[in-house]
Amino acid sequence: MSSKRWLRGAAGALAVVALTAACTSGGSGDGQSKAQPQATYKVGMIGTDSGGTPVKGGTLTFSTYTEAGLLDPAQTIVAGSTGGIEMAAVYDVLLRWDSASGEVVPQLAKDMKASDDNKTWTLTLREGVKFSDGKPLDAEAVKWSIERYVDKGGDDAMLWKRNVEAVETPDDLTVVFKLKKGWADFDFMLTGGLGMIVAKSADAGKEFKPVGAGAFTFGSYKPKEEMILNAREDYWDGRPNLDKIRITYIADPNAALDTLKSGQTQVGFFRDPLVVQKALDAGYHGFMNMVALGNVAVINAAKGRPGADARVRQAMFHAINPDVIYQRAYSGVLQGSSEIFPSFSRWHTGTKPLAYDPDKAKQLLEQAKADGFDGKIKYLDAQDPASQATALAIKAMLESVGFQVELDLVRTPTDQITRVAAKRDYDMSGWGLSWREAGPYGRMFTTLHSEGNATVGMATTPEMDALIEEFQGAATPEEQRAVMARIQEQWNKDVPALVFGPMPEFVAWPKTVHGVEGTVNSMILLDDAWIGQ
Amino acid sequence: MARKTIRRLGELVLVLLIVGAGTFALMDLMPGDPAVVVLGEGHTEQEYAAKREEMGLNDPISVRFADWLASAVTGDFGVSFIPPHHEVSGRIAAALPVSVELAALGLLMALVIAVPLAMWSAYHAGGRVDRLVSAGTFGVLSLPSFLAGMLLIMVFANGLGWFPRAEWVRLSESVGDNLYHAFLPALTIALVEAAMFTRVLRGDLIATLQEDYILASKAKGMPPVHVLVRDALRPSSFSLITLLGISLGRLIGSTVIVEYLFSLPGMGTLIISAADEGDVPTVQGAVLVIALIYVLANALIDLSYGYLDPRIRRAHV
Repeated sequence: MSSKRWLRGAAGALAVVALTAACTSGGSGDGQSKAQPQATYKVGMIGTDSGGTPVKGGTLTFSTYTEAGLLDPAQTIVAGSTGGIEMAAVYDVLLRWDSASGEVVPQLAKDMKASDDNKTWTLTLREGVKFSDGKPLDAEAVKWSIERYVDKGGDDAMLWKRNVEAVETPDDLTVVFKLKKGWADFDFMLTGGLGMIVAKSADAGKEFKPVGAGAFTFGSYKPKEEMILNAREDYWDGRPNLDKIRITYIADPNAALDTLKSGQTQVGFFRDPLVVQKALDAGYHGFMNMVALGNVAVINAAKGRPGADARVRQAMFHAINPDVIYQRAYSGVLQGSSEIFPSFSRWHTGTKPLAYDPDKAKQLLEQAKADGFDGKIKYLDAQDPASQATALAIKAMLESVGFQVELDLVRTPTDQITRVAAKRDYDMSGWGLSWREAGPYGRMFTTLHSEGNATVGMATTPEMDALIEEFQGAATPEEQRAVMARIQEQWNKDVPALVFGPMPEFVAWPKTVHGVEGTVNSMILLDDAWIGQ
Repeated sequence: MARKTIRRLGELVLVLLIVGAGTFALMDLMPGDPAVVVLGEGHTEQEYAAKREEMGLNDPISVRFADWLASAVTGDFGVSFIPPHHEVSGRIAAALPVSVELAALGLLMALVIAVPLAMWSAYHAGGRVDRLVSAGTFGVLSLPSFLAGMLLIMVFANGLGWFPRAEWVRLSESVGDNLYHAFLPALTIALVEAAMFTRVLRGDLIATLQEDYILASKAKGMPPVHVLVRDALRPSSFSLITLLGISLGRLIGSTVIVEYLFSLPGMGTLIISAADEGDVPTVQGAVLVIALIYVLANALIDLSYGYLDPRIRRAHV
């Protein structure tokens, strides 16, 4: 009898432990029914830096989930999630975006000024700035690095070629950019990859070597393990406070948050909305970026596809309630929105998007069916839990108004990119257009202009092309916002994609970390960072 | 014995050839375009087509496989599709020690737990402790490794803070730090393996303990430890050693969940991330290396039977 009691006790204990573990597990796929409080999401710094006297020394360990083994801004997407933070530490940036003022301000460069017509931009460099190989960072070096970036087809290369007529270097400290037409936000181009100046010696050997004029130098890289950046004694703004930056790769966002809480890391990059919410709840400071159009379904408008008919695209838009998608995929920690730029954004205009209106959707669909459309559509997405939940919610909502939806969930992001971007073999697909809060023109052009290289088959129209060009030429933020309102109106007519809402990117750190600056594309600058007690 | 060794080596080459061809064919059938992996999105169809031609993807699969095999036999598995385009052999050389160490430590821990438990259970078969061990091993076997890992993390990393939650320190950097970081992941592996080993060894020991020579040993007044360790353990170890060989090969490539939970840069992480990224050369090279270790481990196990039982050795003379 007593042995039976032992067995019952052991089984009971095991069940309790297993249940506890199941209840405490995290991730996108869990807790679908959990009611989470709505967070206050905003673009910019979260928490106030208490300041104090900078502490010299120490290693700042930063965890991220993707690794950029090649720190070449011309060959890597320059964003916080893809090595942008490491590259900013090694190369610095000529200009940076100040999230508080919304202005572009000098960083490595001394000044950037536009002519009255915004067609000529003059960049003035600081005196005495040197690369870590000892060579001067002068006008010729800037020109060479930009030409290298464009030749290698960096992310903004096409935009650059389309707009920049000539780059002149009248003296060692001046670079003049002559544009084909006025562009009030041209300075944003130098806040990212084009503004990360690569030294000539980086290309001198057989393999690329990251050599820049930033506060840190490349130390070592072990794939899937870590990268070490060392402080530079001769940085133009004085030796940085930190001795080293150690970048470590942790794929599981919950594990990354645990390591931050344990003090094993001091900075973490998060983009899973559930984990972002946990980090905010835990009171971490940080830099938040809300990626507009970060969660959309692109519609293939090529001839022969269901989306070729504007009524079908509009019917789909009317049939989708984005809140349902965010509730299913992210437990409602974030609000869905059909607007291009929701209320968090300085580009929010108040112009209404197409409303969630199932009756209107049915009407439009009936019209399309009367003209021969069979109502069938395939939805392509990935297989991660959030994508699966999104796909099921879309299927349910579209079928409720009369569509017949077949789900096509592919195994890897590469498969999805191949189908959508390379082969355009899809009807509708989960995607991210990622219009940037700091300067949206670049992504607007590449994703929605008929000459853009990332339209992936979406509907483009001469009217939208004209509006995008008008936005580029608008001289003031007020004028730009006015054009943005008309872009929303045009979007309502064209419906190139279904809009579900923005996605957060949060670079989090504890209160003991000071002196961090946020900039474009969820990047942070660490040249003044220090770790206090 | 020599003939047997040569035959085993021949089989080994055949198995590797089949695994290599199978992996190559499967990777070729997978959706996703290697040209897109290398170039990324946002290029024209002509650019993708040119890249495919440059990469030799328009050649027949037999030609591509022959080219790959000719390089692979020299240890050259090509370069990764993903920047910074490291050599695949270098990436494997970095990941393999992590997985080998994890597997070895896990198996060592499992043996340390399983052998005494199995001996105790077998010697007191049917007793209270035996039944408790049986129930416990069944319980652990039914526990998925991700759950075991999460429980250990919850208690020992997040709760008590005794061990790190993630990351890896190389043995070459610091032996102490390495063992400190490896302990929890290895224990996660060890739990399930120990349960399996205990059950197998217990069963074999019970059978051996019925043998006449064990009775004779007991009759001579030998203490239980002598009977168990000196007389019963070696002849009862065949199944355990077979299992050990299979586990070693299996664990090196299949500790994906443990590696993911603890963010470790081993072979599992390498293969899964390479498969996700469409990095075909890395997947092919890593799978072949794991297959090589698997068949080598099993060949060595086969050969070790002769050492364990002289009757087998004589049968092949």
